[in-house]
Amino acid sequence: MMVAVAVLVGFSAAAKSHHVHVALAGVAAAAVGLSLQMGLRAARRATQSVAAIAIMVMTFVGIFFLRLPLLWVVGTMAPLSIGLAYLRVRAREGT
Amino acid sequence: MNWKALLEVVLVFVPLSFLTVGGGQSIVADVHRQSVDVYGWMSNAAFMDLYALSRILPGPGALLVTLVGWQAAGLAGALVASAAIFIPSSLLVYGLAHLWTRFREKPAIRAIEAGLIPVATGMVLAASCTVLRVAEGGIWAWGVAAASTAALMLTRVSPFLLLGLGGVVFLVALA
Repeated sequence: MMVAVAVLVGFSAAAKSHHVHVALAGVAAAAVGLSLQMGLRAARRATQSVAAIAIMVMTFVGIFFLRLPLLWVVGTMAPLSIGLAYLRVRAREGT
Repeated sequence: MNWKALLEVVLVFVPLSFLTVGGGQSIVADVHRQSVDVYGWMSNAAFMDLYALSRILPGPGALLVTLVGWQAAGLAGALVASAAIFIPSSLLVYGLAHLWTRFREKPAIRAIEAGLIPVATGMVLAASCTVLRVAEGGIWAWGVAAASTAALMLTRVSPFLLLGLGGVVFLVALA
């Protein structure tokens, strides 16, 4: 973390350079690929049931399109999703 | 010392600490929303610089939080933001770890694990798309992101190589 802060202090001088900024924008775009790839892999695993797909899509829409506070979105979707998963687990075990 | 900004940093990152399921990436959309739209600590362009830096510097996945804290309230902000993102969730995990191993086979615990996966997935995908919406470079940003996603899913290429290539592509195309 201290390394990061030290780099940042140096960076605030370099940030005025247009080239540094453009290069970082390219790094950021490529870095999105890292998390997108992680998200897509997880999506393949998460989409085992219609309920799970619906939860995933609603979470995405709430954050990305509606720009709702994350706390609200997760505070609503997580209990709902866990409740549905609980019903599935119980149903599968026939208890 | 800017106490107001420090307090804001705490108010933003302590709640987010509990939402970092699936690694630091899941909260990136909200870190952007709060630091740019709600509190105005920085512009979109500055946020993107910090996002890029957080991915190339060595350190934990939540490094972006340290950098945003620094931007909001200087060195004290960096320290406070780091503590706010790590300590609450660490304490929670420490407290739960014992219960978790003890009741691992219970349906409730398995339902919590299974139920959090689609939520975390939606968060990570929304974070990726939020960064792309903010990104400069328009079609180039989407193109580089799509190419790097495809490369990571289909080959064993090093992520660091891709980050460097992204920077080079932008320098050649846009600088």
